[in-house]
Amino acid sequence: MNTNLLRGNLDLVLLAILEDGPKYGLEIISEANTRTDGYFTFKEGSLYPALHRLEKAKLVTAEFSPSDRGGPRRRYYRLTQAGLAQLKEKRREWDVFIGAMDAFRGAE
Amino acid sequence: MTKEHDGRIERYLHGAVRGLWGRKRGEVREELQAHIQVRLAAHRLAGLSETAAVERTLRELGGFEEVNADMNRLYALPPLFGEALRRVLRHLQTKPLRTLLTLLQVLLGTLAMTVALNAYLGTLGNRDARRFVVVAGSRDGGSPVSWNIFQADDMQKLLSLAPAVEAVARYGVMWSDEILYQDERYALRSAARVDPSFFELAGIDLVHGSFFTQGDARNRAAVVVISEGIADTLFGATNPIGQVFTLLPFSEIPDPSPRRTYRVVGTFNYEENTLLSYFNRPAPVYFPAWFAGISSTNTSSIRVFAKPGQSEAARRQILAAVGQVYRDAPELRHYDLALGEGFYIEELGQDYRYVDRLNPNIIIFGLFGIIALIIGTIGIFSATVVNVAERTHEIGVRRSLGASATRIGLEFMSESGALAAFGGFCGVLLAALVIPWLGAQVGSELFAGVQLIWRPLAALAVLALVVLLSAFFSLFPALQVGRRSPVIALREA
Repeated sequence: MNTNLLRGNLDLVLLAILEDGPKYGLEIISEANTRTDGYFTFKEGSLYPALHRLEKAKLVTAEFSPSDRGGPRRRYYRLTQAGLAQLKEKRREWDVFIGAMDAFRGAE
Repeated sequence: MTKEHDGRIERYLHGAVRGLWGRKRGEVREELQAHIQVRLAAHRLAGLSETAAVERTLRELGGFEEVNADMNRLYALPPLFGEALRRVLRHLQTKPLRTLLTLLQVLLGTLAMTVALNAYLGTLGNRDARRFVVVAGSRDGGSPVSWNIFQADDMQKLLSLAPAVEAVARYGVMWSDEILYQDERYALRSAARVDPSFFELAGIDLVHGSFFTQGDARNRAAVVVISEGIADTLFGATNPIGQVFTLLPFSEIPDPSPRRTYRVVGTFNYEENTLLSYFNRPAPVYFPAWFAGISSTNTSSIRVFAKPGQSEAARRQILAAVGQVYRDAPELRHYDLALGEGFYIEELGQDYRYVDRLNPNIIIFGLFGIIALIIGTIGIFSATVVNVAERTHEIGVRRSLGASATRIGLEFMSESGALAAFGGFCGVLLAALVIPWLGAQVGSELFAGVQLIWRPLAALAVLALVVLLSAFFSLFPALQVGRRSPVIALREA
């Protein structure tokens, strides 16, 4: 996987994953893995700064809650209205981008 | 879990949150720790050994440096302060002793300056003009004239007419008297006749004995309060309280008042308050106002003490009050003055109150602060000079790679500014702790008569001064960078 591609679109990935409801870090990682059939295998540590960045930008909110399966408290991230709007905007951008890129996709 | 594994995880967590502070540090740490715990448990469940599970978890996480760098970018200290801190830390790492000394100098200088400035502002606060003089007379046209018009019985009336006034006391200046004690004559350069309330009103503290009392006034007791210096001259080591001396009549008066013997009832410190008093110093001897000065038991002035925060009203009210009480006084009639004329207010401001209030310790603190600041800025100056000299090679390389001289010079200057700001900031922080403590504990002795209160604005002013001074002093070495051609810089290094 080209990590540069991911880096530019990590926000879209994270916001899209959180669209279905609040999740904590590990859940987000496994969700990303499942949805892409394991294509997204990034360093797990780098997920957290990205989530905190979204939080600081007020696209998501976060709070600690006890885990429903026991064990340590988890930090759950939830999409805000601003986050949802941002997600739509990113998707639109992405669609336009893909449409444009299609012109350069040669036959394999 | 073995100690070794615990240690590895701990190192990761510690490295990841390094540089973060406060609540965020705890939150990031807890989040990462939970992640690690859950992952470890999952790997163990999948059959991995403990060592392998730890290994794999940490590998999946990646290096802590990346997490740490990203988190720090997000939650860095306020940019200016954070940048200053980073530069100071770099200095501390490369030249610990020199940097520490410079910081200490700036810190001490800022601390002393802040304390002194706060103390000085405290004297201003205290000199809120609550004390002033009302003189019966006129200073308009030629030489000022005054009349002995104030009688003891009128004081109560004045107080009731001027509610903003807390206390009044009659005050009459005496000139060129002589004291006779054990057949020796002593010239008395200045003395005053005052009511019992004067001492409290003027804020005079006694060393021995007591002030005149209202009882003394009723009995017309022949008592006197003198300075410690005069007590020493007259009585030496003997306890001055209860000693008697004679006031010789003023020879220029045609009808001299009789000789009278006075008993010393109290002494006060006079010399200690005279550091700045060249003019209008308080009298070293106070006689009772109920004895005649120049032929009258009246006085020509009263000392007035306003209620807190009512200095202006007190002035207005007391002028109206004296105008009303003495509107039929023959002296005023004689000069054909209108109602309200014939009295004026004299401020004790620049001279008398200063004597009372400006404590020498403030000056000492201020001087110490200024000296420490100068030494501190010279320290920063020399640090910058050495810095430039040591990094000649680096400067040469960067100049030849296209970095502008202005940019490099600014960098050196901002480093000096950072040092100063950091040292100054610590000094101000310390001052914020020290000043309330000083004010409460030893303030009364160290800064007698001064309200020592923490004033953030004063501290900010000192801090700004420190930074500006340092920036100014490092200007020269920074400019030097610009003048140096990259080729020479590289060759020199």
